[in-house]
Amino acid sequence: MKKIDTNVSLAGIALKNPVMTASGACGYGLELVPFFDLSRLGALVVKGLSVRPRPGNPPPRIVETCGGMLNAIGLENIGLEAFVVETLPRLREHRAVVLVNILGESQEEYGTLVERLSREEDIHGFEVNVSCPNVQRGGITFGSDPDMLEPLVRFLRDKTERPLIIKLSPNVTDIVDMARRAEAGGADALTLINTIRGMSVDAESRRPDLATVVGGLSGPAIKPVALRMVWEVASQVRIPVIGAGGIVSAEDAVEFLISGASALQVGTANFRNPNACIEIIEGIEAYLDRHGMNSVGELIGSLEVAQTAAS
Amino acid sequence: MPLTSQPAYNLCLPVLWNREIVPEIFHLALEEPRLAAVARPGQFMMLSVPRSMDPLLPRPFAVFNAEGSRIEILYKKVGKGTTLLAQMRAGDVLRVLGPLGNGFSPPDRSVEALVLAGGIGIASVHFLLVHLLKGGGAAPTLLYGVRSLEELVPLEPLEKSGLLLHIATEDGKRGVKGRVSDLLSTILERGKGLSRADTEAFVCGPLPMLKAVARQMTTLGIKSQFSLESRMACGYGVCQGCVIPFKDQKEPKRILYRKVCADGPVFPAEDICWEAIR
Repeated sequence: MKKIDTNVSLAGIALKNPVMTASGACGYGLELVPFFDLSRLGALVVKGLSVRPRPGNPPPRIVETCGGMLNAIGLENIGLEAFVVETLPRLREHRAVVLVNILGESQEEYGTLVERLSREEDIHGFEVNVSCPNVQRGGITFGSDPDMLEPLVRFLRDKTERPLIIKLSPNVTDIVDMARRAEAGGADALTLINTIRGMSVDAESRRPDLATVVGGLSGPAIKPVALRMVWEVASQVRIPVIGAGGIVSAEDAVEFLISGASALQVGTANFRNPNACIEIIEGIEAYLDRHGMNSVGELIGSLEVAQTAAS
Repeated sequence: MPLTSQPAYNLCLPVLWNREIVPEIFHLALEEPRLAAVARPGQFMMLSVPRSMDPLLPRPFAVFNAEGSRIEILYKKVGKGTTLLAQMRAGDVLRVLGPLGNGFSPPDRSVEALVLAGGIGIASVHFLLVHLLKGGGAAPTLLYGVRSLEELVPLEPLEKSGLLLHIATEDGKRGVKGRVSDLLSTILERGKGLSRADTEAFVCGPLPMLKAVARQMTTLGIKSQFSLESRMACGYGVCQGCVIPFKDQKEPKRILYRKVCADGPVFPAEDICWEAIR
């Protein structure tokens, strides 16, 4: 196979390929070390970090669904202090591009995380999880109200020079509006999508399958929704879009690139196969070779839509 | 898995055999010397069928045995995943992730091992029994309970190697009529002296059995290790889905969550918050 250029420059970060691990599906990366060299990834997005450690929700936290799974993990994480002191030094050894996903229940919490982590080396950027309830505003999630989202992004923009990626929730009426507002607030890139709110019931026991009743749906079942949102948003913002949602194969990844994504995240697929990301990277290279293309750039946004197609 | 240098493999392996040995219970063997060499009693593997995305997630199976280049599981057909697995034939390929989990801590040679297995829980303790019988220490005792005689997995090779076997069947067709906890009570009544210092228990079975045996072990003051199960998506510590509640030794009112896949599946009984597991 001739040399294929999989490099992507995104929000000022040089990615050797467009494939990232999705936050929440790779822990802090160390769990993947037995399976492959982390530096082969385009980027590693670690589990969402809050200021204080969070224990997460009581079990049952997960349930398989048709073509996917629901999770209600509850944003369990070790907290900022433990991450900086214990985990980051170990993660550095593997020389991956690391993006830290951050979460908070108030603007101040997000701000604390960005300020503290901006003082650390080897953190290439922040991915902001806006699907958290804003407890100061009655629990409405930041990412579901454009008038909360844009100020949050602006607030964080002032606190760091590092790339700010906003991970959008699909559980909104108009994702294009959310995307535009995040861009207006100063986001460098967007990740679409986070999980879709869903539910599962056990007919025999007449109980919900999750302790929290409602959880987030991920996996192949959500791909058509994610793909649609990526396509709609990519044409309406200037900043790059990172596509996430049900990518389990190189073919899925290519579909997102064609639809306008500049990079991809792979989540649930890692549960089935820890080497999924590596296989997808290699599969993208094989696809480009097969189609006589030299670089990933030729694919991005190359969807051919007939003029008569509905918009 | 614990973030140490424990080896773990992600491989597509050929099935050597997949035999229904009693109704609904299957014995499946895979060929892989590297895995067989490092697997320890009480560990498990995540299995999936590469050619099918339905079901999406892999399923956890205890290492039933590992010998030479062969690694074996014993499983019961209970749902979508195991039904698909039951259809596999020799030569079919399975994706295997393992060995995973902490496994049992082996007892000192001077200690008498008391192993308690309920139903398909026999799958999780079998490899431990093989090890104990090869180890040359005191012969282990197995208290094995099933609902009906037809579910009883034959254990002749272990008996021939010196296993002290006691059976309980809920239908009363063999051994003591009742459950494993009844069997334990009966054995105690019959005068088998179980000395706290010399005995360690290793337990696996359905949750009601684990709870009942845990109470008995506390009363008897016997140190015990329990192999737990939980719904799993990944099995290697990244999804955080398989947690169960534990007592926080430092703050008794606080509940901690630990991953059954990476911190377990084997836990000492006294740490487990039984009331909070359903």
